[in-house]
Amino acid sequence: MKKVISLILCSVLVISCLCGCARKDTAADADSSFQSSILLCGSTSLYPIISSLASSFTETYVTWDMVDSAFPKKNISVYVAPGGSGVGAAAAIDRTADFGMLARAVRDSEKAALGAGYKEFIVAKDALTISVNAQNPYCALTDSMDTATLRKVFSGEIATWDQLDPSLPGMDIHVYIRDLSGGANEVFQNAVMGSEEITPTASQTASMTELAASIANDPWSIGYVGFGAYSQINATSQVIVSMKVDGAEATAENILNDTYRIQRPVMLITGDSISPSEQKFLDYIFSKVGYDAIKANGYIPAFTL
Amino acid sequence: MKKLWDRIFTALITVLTVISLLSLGFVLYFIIKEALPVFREVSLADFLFGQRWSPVSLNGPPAFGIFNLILGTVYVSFLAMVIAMVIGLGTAVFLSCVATERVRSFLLPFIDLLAGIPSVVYGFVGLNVLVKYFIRLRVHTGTCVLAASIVLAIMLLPYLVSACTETIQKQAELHLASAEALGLSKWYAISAVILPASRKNILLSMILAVGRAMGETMAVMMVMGNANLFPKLLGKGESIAALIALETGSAVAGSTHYHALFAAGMVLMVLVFIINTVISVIRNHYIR
Amino acid sequence: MHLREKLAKLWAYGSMALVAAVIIFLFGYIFQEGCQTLTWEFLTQPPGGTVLGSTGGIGPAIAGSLWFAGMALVIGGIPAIACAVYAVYFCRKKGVFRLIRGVMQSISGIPSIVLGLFAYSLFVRILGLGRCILSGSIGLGVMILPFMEVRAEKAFLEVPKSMVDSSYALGCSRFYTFQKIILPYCKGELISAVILGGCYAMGATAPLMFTGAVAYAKSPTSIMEPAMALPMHLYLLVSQGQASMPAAYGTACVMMGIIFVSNLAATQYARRCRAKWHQS
Repeated sequence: MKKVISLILCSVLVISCLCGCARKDTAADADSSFQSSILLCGSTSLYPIISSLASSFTETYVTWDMVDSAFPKKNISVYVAPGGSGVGAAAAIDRTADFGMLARAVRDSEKAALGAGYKEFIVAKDALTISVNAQNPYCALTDSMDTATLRKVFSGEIATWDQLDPSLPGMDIHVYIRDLSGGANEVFQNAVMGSEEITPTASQTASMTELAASIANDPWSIGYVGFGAYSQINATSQVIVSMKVDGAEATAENILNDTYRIQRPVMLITGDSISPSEQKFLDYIFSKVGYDAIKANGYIPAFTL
Repeated sequence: MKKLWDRIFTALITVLTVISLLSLGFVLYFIIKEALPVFREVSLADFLFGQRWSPVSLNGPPAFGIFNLILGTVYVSFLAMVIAMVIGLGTAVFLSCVATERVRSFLLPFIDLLAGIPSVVYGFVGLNVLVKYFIRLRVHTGTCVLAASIVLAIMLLPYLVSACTETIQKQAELHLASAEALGLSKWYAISAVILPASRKNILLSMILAVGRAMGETMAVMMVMGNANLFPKLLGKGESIAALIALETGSAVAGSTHYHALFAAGMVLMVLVFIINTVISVIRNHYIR
Repeated sequence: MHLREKLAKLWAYGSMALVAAVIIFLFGYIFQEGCQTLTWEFLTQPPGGTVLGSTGGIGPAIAGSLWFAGMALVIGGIPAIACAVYAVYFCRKKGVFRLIRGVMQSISGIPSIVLGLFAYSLFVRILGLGRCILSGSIGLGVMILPFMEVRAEKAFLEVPKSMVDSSYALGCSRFYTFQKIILPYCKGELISAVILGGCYAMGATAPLMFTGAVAYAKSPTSIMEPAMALPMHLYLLVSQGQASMPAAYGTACVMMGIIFVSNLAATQYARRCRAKWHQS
């Protein structure tokens, strides 16, 4: 009999759990005039910045009435979901997230799908530095490459280091890239490769940091490392070296004034109108705290204070 | 009252079973339904045997060919199965024929622990330890099919060891004493009588492990190099599961790319199914 | 001793030593690297710092993982045990039994990332549940269902058939037999199947990636919210690089700790239950 009772209790528990959730939903509907939770979703490059900001925003204010006394006393919930630029755009389009995070330019088709309410907020700029391992003797020979050479290296036409410079050993060039369908690869394809295709022998990595670490581990490698990941991995000692591209070095000024061409915007997009609470969080991103967080993650803030 | 409870119980179990079978069937149906649209644009032969995969080609038509990925998946899982079988079977023999009951009941839970370690942790350790070691051995970039197979083999060990130990132990209880009474040495009896007698159930335990091996995502992705190449032992390769994990983030929902990822998942399922069927056919028809 | 016997002996001892070394190395490596970061604050505080996770802790991730695992057990565990009961005690036709086996095998053949893709398409997008614990748990539940069904089925099959048959012969109903004979006999095995299923769900990243796990959230309060999860958090910490490495080792250490403890509890409990039954 004991078992029967416990069985019944268990099922009551489950049902009441479900009811509880259902009730919570209706409560939220009744008070839908105020939006207390914000969900941002997308790019693996942008989420570390936004999630550290979400963390400090929630820690500092706790409830919305602390942000603005006009707001009701409700707990602040800011969620940040990584997934990739494509997921970010898709989530913004089908409204499963309040903002999509993108680390590439918005495609025209996506802009059209978001409709008339489309808004973008460019948070930072990122560049793809052409990086080689610091132990590679090639670094001592030159600090610059031109787009034509890059195209040959990344397409596999130049496959060994001695083809780049006869004084180098005849080791294979190991090309590292991000996944073929990702935002970074699209930027690189447009800026450098043009109509050529990247060699199939290139290793794909799942994140910029992994890409940077792979180059730091492999003396005969080359790859496009994001500016953020580049400054992060070189924070303690110079393990990878970036090449000038057509004479332009990847520095903050050159990236901001578009002299360095292999670059991309990092931004938030939405197709909906901005609610007051969302506006407060946006203000927080574009404040001193946000500026510092962007710099600490190695990106270049696209706004000034 | 008793009768009523019995009826409720029977009804509950039956209904739950039917519901879960239906919903699991629906999962299969949904995956296949989402996969099929890709074949309107790419022929099945091109999809299976094409060597080029460039889903968002900015110039020229996109290409969806997963031949290298299929080979990569099969190669890594096969190698991992071989390594895991050799080591796992040896361990199982040790546990069932050498170890005492107390040692066994102490060691088995520890080996089972390996099954509980999240695959991200395996990939993490593999990347930090194994790959660095391969670089020192002058394997191009450290990440290679062999490294992935070793990591995967360790992940498969607990499944094989616990199942094989059980089988071999049963056979040992049946035959070991009589074999020794006949004057056979223990190790001769193990290699000539007990192992052959447990072949059938060892194959069964492989079926579970194959599914695990082919579907493993994170660990393999982190140490295999992910390049769409014809897989070589010390070269880079890419598995189907890694492809899906890498690209789902950037596939636009409803596009051919998105359906192609589902189709790749379906191919993986079919592959597991075929291999399992082959194993059970061998098991039922060629071993008494 | 013949060569063959020597080889067999060497093989058995060698493999055992190798496996033991691997286990000790894995746990030793993680615990040694991770124990420095383990403090009470690390276990309870939310992650913080300009590079997320470089300061603070993993409190919400632990809470989130427990929610995910709990929900997955409700969604996957109950049908799994029901299927196992049906397959072992109710099913009279061999065809139905084969069907259950076949479905379970096909589902266990689906890679977890495809289940993630499934849950993302159906629940997050088409049904509009959004990213939440429920969507993620459905993916996890489907993933652990065959795993638990196989274990539960094995536990039920271990109940001596003679006992069940005698109970039926005495005129006991199915429910009574199940409640008084079968359940007590394999209670330990069943509970350990549940715990191991929970561990399996807790360690999975792939089904959660696009369905319910987020990089930052507070401890969840309902199943309609997204939440953090330990494996996802670990993966993100690893992919962020050096600044969050200590936290990554700490997180890995916590996960291994949880798995270590619950595994130990499960096996001990199962053993004690069995011992009790065999005495009486």
